[in-house]
Amino acid sequence: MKEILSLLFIFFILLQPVKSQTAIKGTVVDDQNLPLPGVSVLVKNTFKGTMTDVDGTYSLNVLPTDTIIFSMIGMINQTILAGDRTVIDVKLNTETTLMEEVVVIGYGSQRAKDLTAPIVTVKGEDLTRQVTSNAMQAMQGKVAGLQIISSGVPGSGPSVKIRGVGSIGDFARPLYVVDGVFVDNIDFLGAGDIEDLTVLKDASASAIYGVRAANGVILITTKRGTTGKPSISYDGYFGMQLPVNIMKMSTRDQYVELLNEAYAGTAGYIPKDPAAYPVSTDWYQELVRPAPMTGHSIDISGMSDKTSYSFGGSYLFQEGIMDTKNNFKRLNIRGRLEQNVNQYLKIGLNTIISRYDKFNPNEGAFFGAYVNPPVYPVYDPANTAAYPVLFGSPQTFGFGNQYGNPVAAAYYADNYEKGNKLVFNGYAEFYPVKNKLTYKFSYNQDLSNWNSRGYTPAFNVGGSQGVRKSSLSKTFGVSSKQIIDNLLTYRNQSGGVSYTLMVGQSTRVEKWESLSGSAIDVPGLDEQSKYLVLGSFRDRNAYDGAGRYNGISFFTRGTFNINDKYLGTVTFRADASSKYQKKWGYFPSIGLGWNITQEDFMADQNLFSYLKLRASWGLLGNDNVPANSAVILGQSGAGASGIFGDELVDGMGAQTVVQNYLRWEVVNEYDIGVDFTVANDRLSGDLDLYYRTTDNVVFFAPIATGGGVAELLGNNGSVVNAGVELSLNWTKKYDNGLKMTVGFNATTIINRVTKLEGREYIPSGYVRGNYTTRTAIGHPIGSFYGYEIDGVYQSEGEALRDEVSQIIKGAGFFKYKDQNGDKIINEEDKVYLGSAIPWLITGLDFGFDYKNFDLNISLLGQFGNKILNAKRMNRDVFADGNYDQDFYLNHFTPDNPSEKYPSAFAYSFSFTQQANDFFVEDASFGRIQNITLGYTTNKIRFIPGLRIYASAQRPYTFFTYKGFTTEIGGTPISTGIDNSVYPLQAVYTVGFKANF
Amino acid sequence: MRRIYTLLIMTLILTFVSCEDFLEIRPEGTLPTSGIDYSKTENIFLSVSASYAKLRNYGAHVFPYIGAFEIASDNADKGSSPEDNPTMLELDNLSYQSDNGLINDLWISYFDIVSGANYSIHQMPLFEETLINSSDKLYALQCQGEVKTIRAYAYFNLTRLFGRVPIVDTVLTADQLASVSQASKGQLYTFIEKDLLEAIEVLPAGYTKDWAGRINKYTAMALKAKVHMYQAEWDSVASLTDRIIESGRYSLLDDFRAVFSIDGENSRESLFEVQSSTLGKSTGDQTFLEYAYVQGPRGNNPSNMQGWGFCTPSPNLINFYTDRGEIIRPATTLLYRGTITPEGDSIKTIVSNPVYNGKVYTPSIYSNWNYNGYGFDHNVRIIRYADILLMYAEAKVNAATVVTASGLAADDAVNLVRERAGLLPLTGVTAAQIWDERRAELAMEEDRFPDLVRTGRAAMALASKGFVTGKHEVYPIPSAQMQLNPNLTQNSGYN
Repeated sequence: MKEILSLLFIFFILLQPVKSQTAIKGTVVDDQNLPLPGVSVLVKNTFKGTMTDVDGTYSLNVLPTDTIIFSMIGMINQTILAGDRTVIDVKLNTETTLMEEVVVIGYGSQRAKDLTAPIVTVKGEDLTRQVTSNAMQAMQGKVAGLQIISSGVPGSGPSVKIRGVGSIGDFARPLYVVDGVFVDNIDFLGAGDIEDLTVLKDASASAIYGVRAANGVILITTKRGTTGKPSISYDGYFGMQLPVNIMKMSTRDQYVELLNEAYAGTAGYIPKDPAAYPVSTDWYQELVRPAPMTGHSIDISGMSDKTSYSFGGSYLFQEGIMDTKNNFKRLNIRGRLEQNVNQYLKIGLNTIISRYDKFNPNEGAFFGAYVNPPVYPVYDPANTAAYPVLFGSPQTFGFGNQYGNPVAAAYYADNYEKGNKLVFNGYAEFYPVKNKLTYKFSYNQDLSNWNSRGYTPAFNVGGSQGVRKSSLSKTFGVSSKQIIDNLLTYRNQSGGVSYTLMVGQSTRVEKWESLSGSAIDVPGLDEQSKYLVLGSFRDRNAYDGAGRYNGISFFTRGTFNINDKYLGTVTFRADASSKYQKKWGYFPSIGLGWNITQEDFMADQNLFSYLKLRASWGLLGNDNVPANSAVILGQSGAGASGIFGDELVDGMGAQTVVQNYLRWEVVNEYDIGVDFTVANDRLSGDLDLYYRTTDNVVFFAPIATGGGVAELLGNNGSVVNAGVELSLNWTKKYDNGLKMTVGFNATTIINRVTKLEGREYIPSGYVRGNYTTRTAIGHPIGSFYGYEIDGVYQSEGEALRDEVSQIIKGAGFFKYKDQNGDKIINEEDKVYLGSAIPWLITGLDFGFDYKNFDLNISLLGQFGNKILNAKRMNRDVFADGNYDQDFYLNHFTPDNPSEKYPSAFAYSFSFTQQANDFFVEDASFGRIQNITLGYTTNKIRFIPGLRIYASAQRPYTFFTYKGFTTEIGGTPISTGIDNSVYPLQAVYTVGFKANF
Repeated sequence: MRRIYTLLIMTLILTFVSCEDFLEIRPEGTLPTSGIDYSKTENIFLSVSASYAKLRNYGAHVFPYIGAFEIASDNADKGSSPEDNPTMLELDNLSYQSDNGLINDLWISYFDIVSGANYSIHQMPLFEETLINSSDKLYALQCQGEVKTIRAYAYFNLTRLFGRVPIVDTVLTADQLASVSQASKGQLYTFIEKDLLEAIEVLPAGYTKDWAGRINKYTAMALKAKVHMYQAEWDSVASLTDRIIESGRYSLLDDFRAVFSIDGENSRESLFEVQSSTLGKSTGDQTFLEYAYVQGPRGNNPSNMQGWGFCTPSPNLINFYTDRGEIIRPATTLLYRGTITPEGDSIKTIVSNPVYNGKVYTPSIYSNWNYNGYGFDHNVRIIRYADILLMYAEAKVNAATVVTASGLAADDAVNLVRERAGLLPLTGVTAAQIWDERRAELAMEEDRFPDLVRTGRAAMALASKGFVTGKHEVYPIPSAQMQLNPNLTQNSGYN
């Protein structure tokens, strides 16, 4: 309240006539007595102020009653009452915030220097430096140990992995805790809504979230009032997204040439003539477009000794780069209020309301663009059978039903979705014994609803591309997740020993429900007529579904600090989950730290100003598996009902394989780390070694045929992820005022399967009748498995002379490597061809501040992972489908004796289209993630702080893979299989940020 | 302070009291684990119906099916455009290997049918135990007989396709499934015959018209006769087919074309059909097979008069009809480019292939599904009376010694079939003549390839495709299956 008053007071002041003022001047220096240029000198509660010049001097007119604030990034603020003085010299000390800073940890907070676990906090303002629709996207390359796989689809968040791959694909995501509320992702938040984001990487930090922590924990605090002065800030940008790395396909003439080469020998094949086709169409280019994107956020916040508040909102609009109706809009409104009622009680309320709507693109159109013959027009006035739009049809030119005009496929997809999310967190904190005992009760709720609509008008293009009647389907869904937490924390200190003890209890209730319906013959002239009731009374169908989950947990944590030298954290959590048959799981952890620089023997050294050694161990659980999936359930509905006399008779079947008894998936993790700051304070960093074993790892594994299901969820074995994480930060200020920072982080991952339950290996990644991956002991999970290519037969003669026999040999065919030397190429010659898990993920940031300018450059790279080019493998289904241009340029011909590419003829054989190291490609990439140039000024009277900036997000990515992007997700045992994806985009923006 | 403790204690108490119920929850929208009330007669048929539904499997009766049973033979070619679908081309020219995806689909689909049947077979004793009324108990047994027939049918096709497959007749764990070994052909036939024998004992002779398409005693007999025919057990073939003939319930339709019409489905000539229906709807759940659709005229229009154009009658088959001077059967079996059907649909000259499978032709008035489709209401004919007559005749010719009640001579049986085809009667019919009659009558009905193998003529008839005796009689065990179950061994000739 006081702050709101002072806000009004500011406006009041602005209207006051100027009173008699005195001129003051002075010099600002740093702790080494060097002059500090660019220090902001501001009269408190006014916009009146100046900055120090190159010599660190300033001058300003003030009243004796004015309070002057000297501030600069990286320095501790100084607040001085002007009084009668005319010269005020000030020394600003370097902020050692990193160490004194309080870090959010699970169910509490801790001083950074007391931490015994690797915990990384990223400020919201650092996230907003990058232009992304999703805050996690901005984390790519920023934090060691984090792998982020981007998606180009508007409104769809990236997939995030912390420290390698353990659990099942979709369920292997980290736990996100937004102000105490557990959520599955933070797609609903804009970077501007976030105060800070904390990544708990090891078991000792995460174990307090026991049941959900196996894949890491990310804590998000939304904006809160932190400074005494009420502040209003606005941040807005406008940008253009350009599709990047769009593949080149063969042109008409190249395509016809390849087809004629491939099928010249096929009985009945009549060679094609390019002149028979009217155009050469680049389907990919027809599908993409540059698209605008804009974001705005506003925040009003402040704090007094009794109250802190923050209110704000953000808006995002992102047009999709697919040239059809696809976009994403999000509007967020949030408010947070924390009030100290009296010395015994504090209450807090926090609400985020997020609403979005989007048109989802038909991503399948991109695969359509890959295979469709490039020889017919997008629009064809002669195709009079087509309606309502005269799209060109591949069938007009004699192509089969498997082809459909990709632009038409994108055009007729009308998939709209909208939703609301309400995240609420309310708490009451009691302090029965001041500074010692705290009891906190909190209630958290995540209430969502969504509403999707798919409409297909009656249309025809040709062949099987068309529907005679329009159809409409709608789905409504609601979900509610509630958590009630009770926490009791006791803190005490005696002598040099301080300790805390926390006990807590948490109850979770989650439920979702959905209802969907469909109808046909819905006119769908406009949005108002897309309703099921307007459809034909026949052929209306309805479906519903629901899910429920309950959990109870008890947990405790003790921490101690002895003379700031010896630190310890011990946690224990017991979780019960309704998802597992074995209800209870127990998760202990321990973390120890040693501040070596506090020891006497370190007093004489001057290399390190700070050096801490950490070690931790802990167990984590994962119950993010489909609820009760291990129960045999009836299969009913039309698919399980027989037909008699042209009528369906209700049936119910069931699978006939015994379900696995699901045990808790448990992560057992060790971590040893060092945090250090080198004496001149320019270089700081941390280094961690981690060794993480996931036991009873849960995923769907294919089972032998005969049980009525193709795959079964089970505890399939153990996987180890181990590696090194290194972060380095270097800062230097030059005398000329240039400040330079360099940040570097690197993560290595070694992933190995160490145990499999009851089987030697698990095949997966089924492509064209064959498994392409194999999960086996001693190899990374889901490794690609197939033939190694030992070259290409250059001639019929060479093939015949080769004493190694394989099913098909001939000029232009792959020569598979005879691994076991038995002169026969068969299953036994298949080998491991690498996996989709990178060995090294690294990021490099440069920051330059000079006078009013700032420049940031972020680079990232990912190395050593492989990708299966399944687009190419699947091409043989589409025998007269197009070829990518790389294949055209490099394929084997007598004139181009390639040792790597097969001939067009050989390419059409399924023996060639096996998993082999032609299709398994290197997926390493390096990327310029972001370049931002900003200019800050305080010269504008009504805007005390204004920064204008221009940025390029993801302007360039370097890779050799033959596709749009190497960032492909999947399940752990079949990941990195590219069946065609939505391309990524570069975003060029200009924006400004104003602080009032 | 006291307030706080009270609050804490209350929370803890509440938590513990409700703990068990709180954590034991069944998934929403499901029936209880013991969801089936075995005391209710109306529940008996649930799992049986689900077993029938499995027959609509894509692999078992659509694309891979036409490939393995017909395209691989001399009756049909791959069809479509020459370069389309190399995996199917491999089936056509016998160049497939164990990695062929269609062959894997066949394996998966027939085992899926087996699994559905296993579930139902094991449900029936539970009803029999619980039900009190003896007629209800009998009904449960009768239903079990139906499902055993379905399982036997799936195993019969698995045996004809692969020769050696594992016998899975109960609920197993994933580990057990991954280690079952293959049974020999003899063991498989014994297993199939046992199922059918038990089925014949309990199945009724027929049902009311609402139950058209349901398996009865004669379906099981017909299947058993065919199983015996594949083992040249002629006495059994003769006595089983004789019982079907003698029952008087079955006869040939007068008009050959009518057999393959929508009206001719589940007719008095039909012993076993896989039911495909859009249920008169134009959208919703897929309750139909695309069996006819994948064989429909490629590139024809309107859109409900076109399909993928696979499995086209071969020149060899056309010549065979011509040489025999046949008119009636080819008129239905062969659907030529540039003609108008008697029902009024035109097969335009723009279609890709000169001729299509006429037996799956479905007039456009019956194809009303929303998106483009052809023949979704066309049932798959598995066994019809003409087949029974020809099996009977072959058994007789092979000197079956049993006395047949129908008193029908081999010549008579064959001539019934020939008469409808507008052909002159034969006397002193030979096995070779019956084989040709089978070809002419059952062409494009997925009987030819195994029939060639059965009669030992495959090497000669498929010489031009490179048929290797001792290898191509059966398909390779799919490599994907061998990866899932390391105990499977490959058929000879394949690697």
